[in-house]
Amino acid sequence: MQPLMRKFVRDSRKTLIWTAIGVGVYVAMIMSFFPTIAEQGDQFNEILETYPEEIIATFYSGDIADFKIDDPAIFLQTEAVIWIILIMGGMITQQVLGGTINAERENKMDLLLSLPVSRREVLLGRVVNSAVFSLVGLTAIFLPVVLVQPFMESFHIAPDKLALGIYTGFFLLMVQASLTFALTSISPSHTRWAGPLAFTYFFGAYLLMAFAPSIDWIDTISPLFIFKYYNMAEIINNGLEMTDVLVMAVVSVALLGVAFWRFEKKEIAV
Amino acid sequence: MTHTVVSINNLTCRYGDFTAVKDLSFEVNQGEIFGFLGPNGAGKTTTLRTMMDFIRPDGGSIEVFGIDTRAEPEAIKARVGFLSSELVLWENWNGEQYIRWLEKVRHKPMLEEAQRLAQLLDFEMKRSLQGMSTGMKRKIGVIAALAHKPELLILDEPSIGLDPLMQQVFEELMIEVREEGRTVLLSSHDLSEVEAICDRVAIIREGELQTVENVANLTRLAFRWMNLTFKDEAAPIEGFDRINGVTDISTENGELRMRVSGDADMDTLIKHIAQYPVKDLQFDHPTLEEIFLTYYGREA
Ligand SMILES: Nc1ncnc2c1ncn2[C@@H]1O[C@H](COP(=O)(O)OP(=O)(O)OP(=O)(O)O)[C@@H](O)[C@H]1O
Ligand SMILES: [Mg+2]
Repeated sequence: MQPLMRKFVRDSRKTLIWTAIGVGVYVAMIMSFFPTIAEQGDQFNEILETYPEEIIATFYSGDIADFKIDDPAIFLQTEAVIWIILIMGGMITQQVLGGTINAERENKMDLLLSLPVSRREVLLGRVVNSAVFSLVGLTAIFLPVVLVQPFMESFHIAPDKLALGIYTGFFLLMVQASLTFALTSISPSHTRWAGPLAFTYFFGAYLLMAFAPSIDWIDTISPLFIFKYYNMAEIINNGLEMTDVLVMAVVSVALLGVAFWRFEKKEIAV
Repeated sequence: MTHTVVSINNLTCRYGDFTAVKDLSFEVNQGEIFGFLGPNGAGKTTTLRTMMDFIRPDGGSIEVFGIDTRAEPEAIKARVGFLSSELVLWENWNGEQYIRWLEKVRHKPMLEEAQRLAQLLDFEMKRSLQGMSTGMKRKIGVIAALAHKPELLILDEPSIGLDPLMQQVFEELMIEVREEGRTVLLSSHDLSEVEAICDRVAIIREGELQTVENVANLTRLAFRWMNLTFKDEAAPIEGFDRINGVTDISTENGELRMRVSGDADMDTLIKHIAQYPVKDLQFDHPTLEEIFLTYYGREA
């Protein structure tokens, strides 16, 4: 088991390192803008109030009445975390596809499965790889904030709340990874819908969320979108909603269950 | 007492509506080199991939070492070396790193044997797999399949991409495996390759087993095409047609072509040819299709 996991993590280590560096630099840079925004907070908020709600909703999934750009948590959420989560979700989806259905198509799965390892172990190794990627990416958000904020008077978020806010994003990323695992295990490798469907769900859910406040039917189906269950700023400012975490955890475990069950039955590269 | 290592029982495999393997049955015994011969698309890869539990039978079953492939595939794979016909490697490694990793997965020492094989096959273990030629990649595939000294080798078209010299080394390696009492099941669509090393062959066509034969019998049935060109004009057909085992004589562009069976009267034939000024003499091996036809012709 371990040689498998180590290989998977090792194979993605370059992507992992560069993503972490990119995310870290981006977060530190965004934070350096905060003092200017905090100084002129009232003016910015006034301008933002004239924005259509849909636009605000594209970067803030919480209650729009609470939206204040000079709040450190909301600032971090809207200017950095939401985008990083989107990018990481896309990367993880790609990674899962590469490790499963694309590996089948490229005949790399044959190479792995000709060894005395079970399919369960192969899939578990991939899941662990996605989890490691998520955690490293989130840490690349967390660390710069913790390191930079002592040097900024206007910016302060208690580290424990910050950690809770950021690392809850792990569940969101794992729901997306699990969905991709489930889709790739269900679909035969000669079909091409698993990848497009996984990406469409993730980015589609994000875009549709923006219209939930103004379009009723989208609001009605919004519980289907993962972005509904995670907003770092709300967790920091209002505390963690356990039901949100529970929903994400249960959905993720259920999807992984489907993935493991179907992968066991799957005909490889057919 | 012969000990059965692989037993394929009424195997049927489908891809959607298409039946790739139909009711296939044969057995491979311990210590033999068994050839699995068939033209393109015959169902060889499908059968071998079913043995590895990559795909599942739609009917029948396969037992390897007496274990059903569906029941305990890992137990089987621990004792099998597999080489895929469409081998793709993880290219970010070199051969040595790959083998070291395999050692950890298989919990078996492999490196020393791998280095010996690499030397025989003229393969550089420390060179990155990236950008290697097809034949080079096949070599590390062969090394990886052999280096843990498995009881059974399942090789899907092992000689693709190997040059004639390496092909010979490969054949010697297979004979070495057999001498150690281990078993080889290899697929091919080349009769001459199978003739050279296999003890028995199963011939499959369009998913159906045609025959399982000792290679010696098959070769006896086999024939060659003899092509003769002469310095002046072609020798007359008359005379050749009276020689035992010589049939299907024709002339085309001054070339005399005839079919010479395995048990033909070679001595008379050669002496007859010697009466004419010969410029060139060539033998063509029969195609698999021609072998099938001969086989069925004799059976009927
Ligand atoms: N994934 C697949 N989906 C549909 N049909 C397939 C698939 N794989 C193989 N086939 C079909 O099944 C038949 C048997 O294919 P297989 O690959 O087993 O043949 P083979 O004997 O290995 O041929 P070759 O010598 O070309 O490697 C072929 O007609 C092929 O087109
Ligand atoms: Mg094949």
